[in-house]
Amino acid sequence: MLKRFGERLFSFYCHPDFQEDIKGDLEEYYALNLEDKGEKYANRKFFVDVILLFRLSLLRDNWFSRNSIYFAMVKNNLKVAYRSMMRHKFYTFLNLGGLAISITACLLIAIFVKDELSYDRHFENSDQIYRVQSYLKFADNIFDMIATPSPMAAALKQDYPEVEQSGRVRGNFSSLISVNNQFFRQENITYADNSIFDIFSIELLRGNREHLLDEPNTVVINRSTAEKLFGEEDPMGQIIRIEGQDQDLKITGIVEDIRSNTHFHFQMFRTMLDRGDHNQQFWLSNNFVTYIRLNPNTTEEAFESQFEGLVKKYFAEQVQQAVGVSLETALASGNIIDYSLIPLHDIHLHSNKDFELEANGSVQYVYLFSIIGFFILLIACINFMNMATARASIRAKEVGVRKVLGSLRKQLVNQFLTEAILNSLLAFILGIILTYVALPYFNQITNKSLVDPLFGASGLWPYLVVSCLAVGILAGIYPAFVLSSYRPVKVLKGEVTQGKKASWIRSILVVIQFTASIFLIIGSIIVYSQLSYLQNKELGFNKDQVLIVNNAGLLGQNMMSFKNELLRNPNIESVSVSSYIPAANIFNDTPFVREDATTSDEAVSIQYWNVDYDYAKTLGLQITEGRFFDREFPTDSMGVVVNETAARRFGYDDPIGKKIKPMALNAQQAVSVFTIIGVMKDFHYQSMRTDILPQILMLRPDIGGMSVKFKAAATKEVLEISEELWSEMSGGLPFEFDFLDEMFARSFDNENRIKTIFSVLTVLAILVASLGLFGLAAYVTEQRKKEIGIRKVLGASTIKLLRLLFQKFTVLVFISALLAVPVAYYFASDWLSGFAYAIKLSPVFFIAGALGTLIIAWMTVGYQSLKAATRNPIDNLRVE
Amino acid sequence: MKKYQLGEFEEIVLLTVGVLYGNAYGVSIKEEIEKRQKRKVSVGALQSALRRMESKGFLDSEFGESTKMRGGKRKRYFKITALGKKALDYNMQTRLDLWNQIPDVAFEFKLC
Repeated sequence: MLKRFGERLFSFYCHPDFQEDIKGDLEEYYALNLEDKGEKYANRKFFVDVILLFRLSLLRDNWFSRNSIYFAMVKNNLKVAYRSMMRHKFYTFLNLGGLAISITACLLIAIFVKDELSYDRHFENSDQIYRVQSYLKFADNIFDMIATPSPMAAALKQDYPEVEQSGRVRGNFSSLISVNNQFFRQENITYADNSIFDIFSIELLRGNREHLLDEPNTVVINRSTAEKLFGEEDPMGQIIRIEGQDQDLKITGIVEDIRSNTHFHFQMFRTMLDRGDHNQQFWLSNNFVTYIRLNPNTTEEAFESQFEGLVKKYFAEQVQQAVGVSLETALASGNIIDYSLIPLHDIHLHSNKDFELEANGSVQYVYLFSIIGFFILLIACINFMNMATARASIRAKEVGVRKVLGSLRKQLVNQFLTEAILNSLLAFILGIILTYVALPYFNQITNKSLVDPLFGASGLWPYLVVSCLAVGILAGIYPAFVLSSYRPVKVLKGEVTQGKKASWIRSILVVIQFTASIFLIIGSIIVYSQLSYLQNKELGFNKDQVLIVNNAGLLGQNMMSFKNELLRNPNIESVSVSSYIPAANIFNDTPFVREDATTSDEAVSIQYWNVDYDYAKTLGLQITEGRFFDREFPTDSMGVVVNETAARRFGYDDPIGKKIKPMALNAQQAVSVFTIIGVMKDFHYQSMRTDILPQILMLRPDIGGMSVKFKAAATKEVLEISEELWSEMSGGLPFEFDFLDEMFARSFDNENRIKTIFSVLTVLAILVASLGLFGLAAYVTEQRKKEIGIRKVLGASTIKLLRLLFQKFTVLVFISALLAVPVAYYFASDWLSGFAYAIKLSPVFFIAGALGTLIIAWMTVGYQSLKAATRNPIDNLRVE
Repeated sequence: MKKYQLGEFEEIVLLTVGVLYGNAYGVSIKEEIEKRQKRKVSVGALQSALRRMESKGFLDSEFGESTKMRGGKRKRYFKITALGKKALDYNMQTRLDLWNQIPDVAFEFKLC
């Protein structure tokens, strides 16, 4: 058996000339061994010998030996490519530089896209995990949000066997905490069910998996928080105090830091049991984020259809109680209670609902950047093609001689392809170096923390090899076929085809380049103006010179004296105590109705904020009708100030003196009635992406924060005096502050990031295109040197010559503008439609984009042309 | 001289082929070397050395008779060519020269 296999193997690889006698020898050894040591040994020995006979000198004719000539040719091709690159250093520089820059851009984009697509995929069974989200509509109020009722998670697990596990989190907030009387500002705190660790496989470093958050006053923290709070000490069982709530929490577990590519980055998980409402059986209030893990055999669609039954089962009774009509009637009259699932994988890129735990990414940008990356690379490839075909005349003689000496066309194609691939290889090496140089800036702009995205674990390097070859072939294939098609007789006789035939193809390629450039320029102009429009839009309140003192409530009884002391400083204009600060992302939502309302259909969902007398003055709110709260009117405690939107929604033409009340949750509940004493101008209290919602201000003590309005140019002084006063009165609590304008600027971080990325990419694309155009212009001018000389001798002016040289490029830019404008218009209006407040698309943007490109093109071509047109004609004509 | 380059194993094989004049084929060469040198010789090493030297021109070969034991396959007999002889001479000479150059004192081993 083994012997037969050995024979086969030997015949397979051994050179036929040697087969007979060596096989004979092997047979002879076999016979001898069979006699001496038995069959088993002989068989084995035979096979071992066959293996050992696998020697280079004994192998049959193979692919390597047959192709060795080609390997020699590749070596030769590389040498020729190197020499031709060295001979034209300027063009080599343009080609390599352009290609390297565009590859850097592409690599960075690829890194970005890959990271965006990898969100949440690192959890075990991540494809079975879903988040429940709600779409609710009552009267004119629409809620499209990630929050769900408190009992949802438990009900899902209990009623549906498909649900393997369910769990809730609530909030993502920061708080002042203390450990052994040392204070820390702790970010990313959430309340969580114990079961959340069953759904998300977050590695547990310390603690008992079964008993992490199953008792009141327990907390799980992540590794870096443990290091921050306790250093070398053992954190298990230690106590963390939540300031302002007077709660002491015991650490029951340490988990690994949550990876950056996750849609939440909690650092501290407080037990849900500490919330009074954790076990509330109320279905009409949505405050909890519910995650579930389905068993592998259940599909999302199949499970989603169950929600209708769930709503029927649990909502009917409570809806009847709250609004006095049955669930069916309520739904029939246009109200909507709709729950659905979103797969965990889709949350980061596809979910943009109200109350997201963190600002998510957007698949729109992933697509957009991929397209731009592709364009930039395309532009660089086109440059390469253009340069190669334009300079064909230089290589034409070489091609002619090679052909006469017997080169086949295939070999010439190979030669030029080798050159292109060598170019692309060098450019890739340069590009990779540039990528690593740019990585810190990239991380800063994109707010990521990638270390070694190319060669690290699950890096991009396998794609690099493939794309290096692909770019080389893409850029080289067309020139290779053009160059190798020359007829040797013509070329050698001097009838050089000066790349003229390919001139129209070159024009098309240039048009593609310019189309992409114009598109990008228009795009970045629009992105830029939209975002600065948002940032500079009239906010409706004054955000400058306002100092926000956090945790003012911790001062307790000293707070009022702190406020009064501050007011004694001449630089401070007013001080208001309220934790409701615009841009702080605080929401407090409840339905209100007019006093005379008869049905719940008239309810208006209202943001109601608790403020004090000085609120309007401090934040510069504008009162359009009536007045703000005033200490002289004791009845103001039952008064409210509404914004214009709210007044409109209540349907009051003359709202002053009219009354509103919160909607009763059931018929028995008694509610107080409020009188409208003033109307304020709408102000933007949350993200500019959304409309201003109805809002009312109420005179209620709320001691969370303090805003201090001060005079211009006194920032430093005010900060110093506040801190001094604080340390006098706080008894060691840290002074935490913020400036309102900075808080507001931070709320645009995401938009600013996009703006920066887009501008950088646009500049890169234009740079690469300009490099190519520069090379092309240099070549064309060189070609027309004599023509220019003769024209000049015959009396043409410099202006006329310049016009001659500019004409072609100008026409090409115009054609490109015609192509680019509609595409840009389409994409821009699509993008702008996502904003509640958007700029109008005026023709100026498009004209500016096209003109900008034209000017850049002129400047690029201009240098070469001016040089040629002003040169002494004799220099151009003398050379033969 | 590169032309006469011989490895140690090659030299032994070449010499053995000479010793076995007229009866030098794979099996006999292997047996002879194993007997004289008391070392194991693998078929692969031997065969590749033989073919290598043949392509260098040190050896010549022709097919001989076949036996039943060989499954009807012919033997390939090797013999040394004139060039092979020169290579052997050259190798031997260079070693001899070196040997002769060693001063007598180098071999005076004393207990010290």
